[in-house]
Amino acid sequence: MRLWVEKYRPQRLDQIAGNATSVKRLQAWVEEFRRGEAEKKALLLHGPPGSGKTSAAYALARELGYDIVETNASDIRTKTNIERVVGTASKMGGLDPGQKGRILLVDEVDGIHGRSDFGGLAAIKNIIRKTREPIVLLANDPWALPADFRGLCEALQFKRLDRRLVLRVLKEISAKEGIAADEKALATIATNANGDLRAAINDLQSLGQGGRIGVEDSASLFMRDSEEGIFKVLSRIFKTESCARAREAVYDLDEDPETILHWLAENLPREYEDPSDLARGFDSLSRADLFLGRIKKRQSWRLLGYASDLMTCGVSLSKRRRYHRFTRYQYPAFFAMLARTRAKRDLTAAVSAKISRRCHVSTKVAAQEFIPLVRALFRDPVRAARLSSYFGFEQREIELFDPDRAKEIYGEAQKITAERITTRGVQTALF
Amino acid sequence: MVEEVWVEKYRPKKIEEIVGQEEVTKRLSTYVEAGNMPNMLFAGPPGIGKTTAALALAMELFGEGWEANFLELNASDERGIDVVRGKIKEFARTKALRGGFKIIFLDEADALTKDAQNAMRRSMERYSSVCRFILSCNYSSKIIEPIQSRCALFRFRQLREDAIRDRLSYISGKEGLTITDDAMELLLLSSEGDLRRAINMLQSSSAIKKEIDAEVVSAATSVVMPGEIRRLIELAMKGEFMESRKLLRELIMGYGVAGEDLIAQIHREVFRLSVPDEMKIHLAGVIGEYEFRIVEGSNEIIQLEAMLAQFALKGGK
Ligand SMILES: Nc1ncnc2c1ncn2[C@@H]1O[C@H](COP(=O)(O)OP(=O)(O)O)[C@@H](O)[C@H]1O
Ligand SMILES: Nc1ncnc2c1ncn2[C@@H]1O[C@H](COP(=O)(O)OP(=O)(O)O)[C@@H](O)[C@H]1O
Ligand SMILES: [Mg+2]
Repeated sequence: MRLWVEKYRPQRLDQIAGNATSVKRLQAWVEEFRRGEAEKKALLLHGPPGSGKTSAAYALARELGYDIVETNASDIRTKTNIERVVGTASKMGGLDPGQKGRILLVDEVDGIHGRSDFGGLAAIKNIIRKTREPIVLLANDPWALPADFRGLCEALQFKRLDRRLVLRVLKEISAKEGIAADEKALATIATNANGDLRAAINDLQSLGQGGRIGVEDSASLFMRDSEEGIFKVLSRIFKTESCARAREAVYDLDEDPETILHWLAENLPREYEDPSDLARGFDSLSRADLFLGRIKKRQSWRLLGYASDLMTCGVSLSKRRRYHRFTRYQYPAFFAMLARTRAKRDLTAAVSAKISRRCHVSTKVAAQEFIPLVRALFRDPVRAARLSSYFGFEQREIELFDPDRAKEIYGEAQKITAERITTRGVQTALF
Repeated sequence: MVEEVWVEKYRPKKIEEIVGQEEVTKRLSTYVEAGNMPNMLFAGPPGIGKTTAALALAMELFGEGWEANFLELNASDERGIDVVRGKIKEFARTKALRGGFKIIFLDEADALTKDAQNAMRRSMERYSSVCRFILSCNYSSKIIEPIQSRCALFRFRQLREDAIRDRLSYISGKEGLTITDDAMELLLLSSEGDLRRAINMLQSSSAIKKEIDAEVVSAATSVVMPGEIRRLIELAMKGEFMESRKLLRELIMGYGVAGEDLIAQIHREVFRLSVPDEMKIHLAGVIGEYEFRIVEGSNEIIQLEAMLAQFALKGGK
């Protein structure tokens, strides 16, 4: 299967998300080099992984009609090797008109290590001094390179991509791949990627296998990577008695309040043993949840601060004694429940929608009041078939009420439906 | 088509059949005579005839084929005001088949935010020549002034117990059920003035037995086995919070019960516990508080767990 990061690798410079100024400078520098006006003979493009450095270099080459000569970390990059690949290329071309231009790309220069890539860096230094072709060096951490090496290059930074930008790309790809993705889920993937678009796209692909991505999918993903972060936050909130420290605890955690709330609720009883501490702690969480409810219903985002105060400071100050011992925190059962009951919830939603149309009620009322009714009426299989025809249930929807007899009931229901259609046909023909 | 669900089977098709809303139905009938109607706002609690009135009005105004002239939307289900407006636009595009106008019925209009209501109001103005709007809500105070001022307000009354009892007896007769007095009382009590719920409970009961007594009603309206609920409460009150939470999660997972239903059952069960009456009323207060929080809050599991923590505290004292 094709990797989406490759499938959606930008082909043109204007498809590179973000970093517009740096992209422009990259292009200008290569052109300056061609005209012999570049001050430095190499460009050190540095920035976090997945920000588009390699893509930008390739897109530029494509637009200029250049070839790329590349070495990356997967090549052996000893002195000899570098000289053979990069060195040779650097001596050619340049002034020959009519010859196709080249960009020499050294990916992950900060990964050229003293021992295994013996003399590699020194070789590159030499090549830079004499090159007739533009050299672009890519690095995550430019400070890992020796200062004199850096001195030979013009440094150009690619910044960590803004999460909104990442989100936009995720949405575009979901749309192209025909994936029904929950907006919040995509936002979580984007947040979790922390500016690394490659990681975000990979996550999107792995979660999107089934053609849809729900909130709970992305939640599980998030937990995998930053459990450590949340554990620290929990322990700060539970252990401290200072309001300020509790509130600060969540500052660095870029996670939505609802998720934090579930982590706190899951672990509060593991921490606060005293029943009155526990009751007070839960009361804070409950009140925080009230604010979250109002925020959702009325879009009053201003209230978020209060929810956060209650979750952090409120919980910390709920205890009348300190709990010193180490607590092993657990992953919120709520998320697991969500994931496990998802198929069921999807069915419930589909069934509710059908009931809602027939009975003129919202899907919420359909789920709360009518599904129990239908379940009760399903006790009689004959009536179950009539009801299934009445609501137009599919076989899998019938399974929600009677998994054992769903097939027969569905068969009967179809007969009833067919009969109804023919009688109606006769009636209309008569009139 | 044979109506399988009684609320539909016994939904009045004519305005005059609607019970207990005389003031409303009198005014609506004049619109039928005139063959025209203003924009309207129906306000009142659930299950008392708002939707029924809108449907009956449309049937009487348009007669056969009325459906083509009637668009029903539920604000709490349509994803955002843009979807609502899109559907309205699509519907208003074609000419009314008869009567010279079409009706758009927007249920639960108070679920719309202020901004969405303002957008709604612009739609109402834009399509005023082709469409009439009926907005339905629980509280008219949650509808913005500019909409209120463009609509004729109809306050639907909470149905009196007599009206509900008569209706249930009527349906029982038609369906060949017998129903004891205390079963009827239980139905009235648990439906809280909501006729739709009352009829649903009656039909659920009938699935168990045609001779309906209080026990049948109580079995039909418990989503979860009463024994389980009792165990949940007792565990919590013994201070075994983790155990009770585990059971709570099993109930929610296993039965797929909604928090509001679960809490209603807990409420019922508390009064059957062998604890001092003072404790019962105390717990009832706690339960009420958390029912409120479930409605207002975002996540019912958090609220239910918080309630169990309160139980654990009360029981331990
Ligand atoms: N700025 C960007 N714009 C568009 N896609 C990007 C961008 N950055 C990364 N990607 C996506 O991530 C993949 C890897 O990006 P790459 O350019 O190799 O990152 P880097 O070299 O900075 O580590 C690309 O194939 C592309 O799908
Ligand atoms: N006033 C009423 N007269 C007769 N039946 C009613 C009345 N109110 C409610 N019902 C019954 O309850 C059901 C639901 O009522 P509905 O009009 O949908 O309530 P709402 O006020 O929530 O819109 C109807 O199908 C009908 O069977
Ligand atoms: Mg209604």
